[in-house]
Amino acid sequence: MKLKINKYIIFSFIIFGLIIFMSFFQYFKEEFSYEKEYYIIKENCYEKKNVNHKVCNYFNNNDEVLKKYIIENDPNKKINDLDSITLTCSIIENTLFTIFQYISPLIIFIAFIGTLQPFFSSGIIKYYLNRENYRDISKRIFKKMIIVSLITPLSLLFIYLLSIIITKGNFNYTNEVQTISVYEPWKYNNFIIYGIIICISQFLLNMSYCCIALFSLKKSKNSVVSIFMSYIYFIIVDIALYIILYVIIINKTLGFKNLSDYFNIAGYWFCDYGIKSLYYVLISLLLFILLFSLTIMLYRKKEDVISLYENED
Amino acid sequence: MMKYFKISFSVFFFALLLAVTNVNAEVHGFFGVTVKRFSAPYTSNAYTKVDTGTQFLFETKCTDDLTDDDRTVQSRLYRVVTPIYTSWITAVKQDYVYYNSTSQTVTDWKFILKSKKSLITTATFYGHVGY
Repeated sequence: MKLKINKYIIFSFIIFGLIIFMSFFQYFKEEFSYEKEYYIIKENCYEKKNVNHKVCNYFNNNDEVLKKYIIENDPNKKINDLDSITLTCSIIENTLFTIFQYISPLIIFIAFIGTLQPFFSSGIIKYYLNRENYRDISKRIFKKMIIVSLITPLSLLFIYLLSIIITKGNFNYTNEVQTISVYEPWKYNNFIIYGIIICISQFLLNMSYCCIALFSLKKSKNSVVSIFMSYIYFIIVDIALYIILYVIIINKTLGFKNLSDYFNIAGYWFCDYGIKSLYYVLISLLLFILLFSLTIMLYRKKEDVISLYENED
Repeated sequence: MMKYFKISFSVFFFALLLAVTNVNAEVHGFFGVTVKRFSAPYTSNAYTKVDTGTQFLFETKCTDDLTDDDRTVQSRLYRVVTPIYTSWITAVKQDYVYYNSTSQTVTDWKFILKSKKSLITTATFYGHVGY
């Protein structure tokens, strides 16, 4: 039984690639939205070519403020000072890319279900189950889970590599960076470790989503229905973790506060709690172990899987 | 609620005192602003900045509506005329955080606020922007 990388996995990578490029475009467009006006101000107001230009009114004839503005906002200096870590974090945390917080599970479901559904819906899975070793088939499906689960970590790595290229490998951040929202001392000083933690969390979450997809595959032969059901199950798991486990039990009953970010699995794309981001790995690992155990119980017996497809015929 | 209203009123009174003693200061309050679900941004109506000076954000408090947890929020400013954005900054409870120096210009601005993490619950923000 060969499970090739198919159009659904390629489609998923394309979607990520597209959004990543749009996010970079959005970042530079917004960060340098003042650039055109900067040169108008510099020429007319600072270099005094036309002090009656309307933009000079922005500074109330205050030369000190104007000078400070010109020095601090030089676009060339700003682009040269831009470092790889700031660009990476800004893309992930403050651009269009943030839609993946709730959309990435859908992409994973499309990639995984799109790969497996043809075997389940056509019934050819019965052929393989009767002729091949069940353990071998399970291993191949598990390998496919691993490949699909690498989609989001690879997209994060791609953003990082693209940021390094754009900033020409500049890892020295200026003092101004410490005032912006993405800055966190531990994150910046241990960025590789931070990146590994986030990628591992994302990988384990995606493996959990693949387990959810396997539940849906057993329920329906239709790929669209399976994808839709999988997303509903993801919402249920997300709400159960946040509302039931955290809000009701941990927060309201036990009285522990300010832990909401740890139980919001959709937000495991970035973290500003330093080494405590390791809790993301712990929670995603526990979730994966739970869902994988349920999956094994569901698909434990080959005879049950065969009879399921025979009954659906 | 009353406690945070008193804090915010105190800030206004302080700004008024500065204005009366000929120190230029202006404050625009944002009280009871709903921080939307899923990091959707809140955008205020435009306000007019009448003097130069880098703008700052002061967060009185911002709490989740369901859990009462402190909610981390980000903000930036949007200039209405010849649109530009300042960089995102993270609000710090009971502290001043400055926007970058593009916020100095004397013109109309809008205040944008969003939750840093995409959560399914809303939060309520109390604070103000000044310069």
